[in-house]
This record gives sequence, C-alpha cells and structure tokens, in this order.
Amino acid sequence: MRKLDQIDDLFRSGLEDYEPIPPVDVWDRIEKDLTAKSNSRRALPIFLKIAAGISLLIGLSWAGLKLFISDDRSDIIITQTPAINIVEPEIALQPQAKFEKPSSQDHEVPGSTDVSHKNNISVEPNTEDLITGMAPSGIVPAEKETGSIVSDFIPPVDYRYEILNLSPGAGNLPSADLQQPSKNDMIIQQNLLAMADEDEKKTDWIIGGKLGPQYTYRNFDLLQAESSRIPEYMEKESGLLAYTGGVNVEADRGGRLTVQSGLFYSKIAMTRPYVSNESDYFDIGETYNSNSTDQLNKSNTIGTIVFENDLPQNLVRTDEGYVEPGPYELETQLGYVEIPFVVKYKIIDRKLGVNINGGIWADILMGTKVYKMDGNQIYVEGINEDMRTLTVSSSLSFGFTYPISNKLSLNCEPFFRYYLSQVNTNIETAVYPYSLGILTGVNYYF
Amino acid sequence: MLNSVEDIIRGCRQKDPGAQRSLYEMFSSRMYGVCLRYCGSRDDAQDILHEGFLKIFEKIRQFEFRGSFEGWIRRIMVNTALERYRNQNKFVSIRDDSIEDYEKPEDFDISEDITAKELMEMIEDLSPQYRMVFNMYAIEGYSHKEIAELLGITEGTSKSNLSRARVILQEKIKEFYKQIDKIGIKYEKVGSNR
Repeated sequence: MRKLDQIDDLFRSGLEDYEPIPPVDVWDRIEKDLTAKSNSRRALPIFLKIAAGISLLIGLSWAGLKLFISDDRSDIIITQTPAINIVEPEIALQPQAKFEKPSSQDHEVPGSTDVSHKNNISVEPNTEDLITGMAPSGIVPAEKETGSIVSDFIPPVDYRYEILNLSPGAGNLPSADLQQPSKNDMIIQQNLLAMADEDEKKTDWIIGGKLGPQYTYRNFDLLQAESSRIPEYMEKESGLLAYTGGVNVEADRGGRLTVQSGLFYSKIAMTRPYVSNESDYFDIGETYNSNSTDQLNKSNTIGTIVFENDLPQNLVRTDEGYVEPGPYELETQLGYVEIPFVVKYKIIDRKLGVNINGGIWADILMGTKVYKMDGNQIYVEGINEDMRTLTVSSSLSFGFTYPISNKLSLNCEPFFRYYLSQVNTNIETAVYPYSLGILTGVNYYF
Repeated sequence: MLNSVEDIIRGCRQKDPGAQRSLYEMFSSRMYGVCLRYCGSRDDAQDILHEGFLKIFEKIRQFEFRGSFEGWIRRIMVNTALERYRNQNKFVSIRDDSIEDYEKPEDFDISEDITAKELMEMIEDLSPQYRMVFNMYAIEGYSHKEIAELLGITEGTSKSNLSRARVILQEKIKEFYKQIDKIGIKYEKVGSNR
C-alpha cells in the first residue's frame, strides 16, 4: 500500500468499529418529537369534523329553507279550492259589530220564534272583500237599517288568516258548492297564486360558474430547519400562475346577507431550480456508490420530491458523479377539490352590485405532480411527498355583479386565499400556501 | 437477523414506536460515531444524531430494500451533518491550489496501537473544512468531484484541503508517538530507580 494512503487507512480501519454510546437524552428528545408529530397528525380528524359540520350546516340550512317555503305553499294550495266556492257563509269575517236589537215592530218575521236568528244578518259576502280586508259588502251597517251602530268593524283582515281559515270544516264556513265557481272566486284564486309566487320570490336560488387565474405561492414556518435556510428558500423558489374555478350555489333571501357554497378545483404551483451542485438540495437517498441505493431525491420547502424513475431524466451518473445536461426548473403543482362556506354581504345594492365576501374552505388534496420545465419541453418527473390530505383555508373577496337579463348576471371577483392549516407533513417546515386572483363568471337566478 | 431488520423497517413504516426504538438501539452507536467524526463538539454530534433519526423515521418509506440499509442510514446522517456545516460554517475555501501545490505527507511507519478514541480526538482537532473533506474522502469514499458539489467548493480546493488534513494528522500522530515514547522512558526510569 502506498505510504500516502497510510493515514487514510489508519483512520478508516481505526474508526470503522467506533461505536460510542450516545447519551440517553438523545432518544428522549427523538421520542418527544415523534410523539408531538404523531399528535399533530391525529388532529386531522378535527378538520374532518369541522368540514363535516360545515357541510351539515349547509345541508340543514338548505333543507330548512326548502321546507319553510313548501309549508306556505301547501297551505295555500289546500285552502284555495274551497275558497272559491263560498255560497252562504254566515258572518264569515266575524266582524265585531253589534247591531242593536231591532224592534219587534220593525223586523219581526211572522212565524219566527228564534230571537237570535232574527238578530243574524243573512248576507252573501262579496268574496273580493276577503282579499281587500274590508267588511263584506253585503253587511249593511245597522245605521242604515236600524239607525245606529254600537261599535266599529275590526281593522283590515290579514289575508293569510283568511286563507288558512277557509278550509272546509273550519267552523265558520258553510258547506261548499264545488260545481260552479263564480267570477269573483276566480279572481281570488289568481290573487292567491300571485301571493304564493311573491312568497317564493323571497328566496332566490342562484347557481353559477366561475373561473380565473390565480398567483400562488407559500408562506412557511421553520420547524427543524436552520433559520439560515430562509434566504435560500426565498431566493431559489418562486410562486407561479395557476388557476381556480368551479360551481357555486347561493341562497338569497332578499336581504343583504347571502350564503354561498359549491364545489371548486384549484391548482397551486411553485417552482425551484434544478441545480445539481448544491448539496442542500441533494437530500436524503442520494448515492455516491453504486452498491448503495440508486434513489436520488431533491426537496423543496414543502418536502421531498420523489422521482418516478430512479434518476431524473437527462441526469446521468458517471464515475465522476452526476452529470447535469443543463439548468432547468422543477415545478410542483398541488391540486385541490374545495368546498366553500362563504357569507356575502351587499355593500352596494344597485344595478352594479358590490359584495364583500368572507369564508372558510375545506380543501381536499387530489394529488401532486412535479414537472421538469426544460425550455419548451415539459416532463412529468414525480410527486411531492409529505402532503396532508385535508386542510382548511380562508378567503376574502369583493364581488361585482351586473345583470344582463332577468335571469342572468355577470360577476367579477378579485380574491385573496390563505391556508390556515399547513399543507405538508415535512418535519423541517410548515407550509401555508396563499393565492391572489380574479374569478369571473355567470350567475343564473331561479 | 435480516428478517429482523426488515421487520423493524416495516414497523417503522407503520410508525410503530417499538420498532422505532429498536431501530434506534440497533444503529444509534454506530451513527453517533459517524456524527462525532463530522463534528467539533459532542453537543453538535448529538443534535445531528437527533435530527438524522427524525429524518430516517420520516423518510423510511423511501427505502426500497435495495442495497444496504445501514448505508442508507449512514448517508442520511452524513447529509444532515453536511447541511448543518454548510449553514454554520459557510465553507469558506482556504485555498484553491492546483494539485502540484500539495504538501505531501512524509512516509513514516505507523504501528497499530492507537485507539479509536485517540484517532477521533485528532479528527476533532481539525478545522471544520479539513475535517469534512478528510472524512468524506478517506473514510466515506466520496470522489473529489462529489465533495466539491456537496460542499460548494472546487475540486482543487477539495484536494488541497485533503492534503492539508493528512499533513496535520500525520504531525499529530508523530506527536502522539513522541508522547508515548516519553511516557515509556519515564516508566523505564521509574522502574530503574526501584
């Protein structure tokens, strides 16, 4: 053996079996960190519960509104048919008028012995009065008949009260003649239907579609990575333009507040250069000896990039190490299906409406892709590991609405989104994406 | 034994605390030795051991039972140490000499009676950049090109640092033997006095 290598051999052989026992507290720290990480992962079901709770809330609200509306309409439908067939109600509106007992000389009916019957005024009320709330036109004030009125009529009658009490067997209705509705009865029917429509219009159901570009990037906290790496992350990585879009459903009760949900899909993207001579990006699994594993990994702030092939395309391993054909970019894309729960408040309620919107989104990761961008060539290289499946984000936006017909409106919505929970499980960094963009679309009013 | 290691790996993939503890007990001493070689202090070595094992548990799904598992673990520890030193020491190149400028160590005879602990102390006394290059080249088997890429230095600097590290270590070994000789003489003198 050459003398020059004697030093190397001495240390290699001398330290080959050097196995000092590490202090006990090293394992204690590892165990503590593993437990903390495990606990943070167990917190995921909490997000699931939140998402489930939001979904349940939306569902119940929707069901409640539908039930509320259908109850009104069913009442009307049930009562309108008998209402058109009133033939001879007694004093249907129950006016609080009391008529002075007429003198027996003036109104005594020959052969009659029922005094109370004599006091009843037999009239056929004009059914239009049921709608106007006026006293039946057939009722003639006692003054005209008897010369005096003891008390006034009740105030105008609420039509709903009348509608609900016009069903058969309500006590104050006579038996109905179902054969020949009068002209007035038809008017009542039309009015009732018009009122039912009016009730229904109190909740506008809106369905729409939105699509737009968004600039996406990420914020991050250091967990175990050295703080000196912040400049590296900030200088070498950058945000990218991606897109978002989906279908929105809104319930508008006519006030200033509107609740919106729906189903959206968003792409979040970021990029980093692929530079082989930077050791900090040659992460775990890189090999130098062919008898070890041939897996080569890189990482970004999010975590480890795992390549589909053993080595990235065009990267050739030689005896001298890896040969890089040229610089290119590694682009990570995260795809999320999202369910929003957004509250919209109208700050300007004119033809050009303006809303301010705030909401919480449940974001479900559909997958990650890492692309190699080599000039105009794009290759799929692998995936970004260490990702959470479910995360929660928040949104703030301004919505501009302009009607183009009775049923359609155009929308433009600049927005800002920020992820409230970290999207990765990397032990070194906690990554929180954010995005800034504009959604445009169309709403259809039912 | 192989099945046992495989069982431990599979347990670690399932985040089984018992398997994680077993893996640590199986490799912690050897990896602590690796960490000590790359560090100037025991505190730093313990930090790297801690950080390295967390990475191992986090990334263990990436090990595909191809090649040596111990080699894979060792690579993680070395990479963790390199990363730490890059961040802490910024690896300022001392020299970027050509190969012809190397100070070649003199030939000398080495007996085998130096303990691992004594060798480790000699390595710990090296400056960080010499220590890293010597460890990577002489003990881990990295090429100068790979060292240059990993440390962000040129190949010439890597070779220069290795040469300097060898010279310094040679001097330390000579000094060590001188001390041994002195102690031996003293013992003889004490013995002769009796």
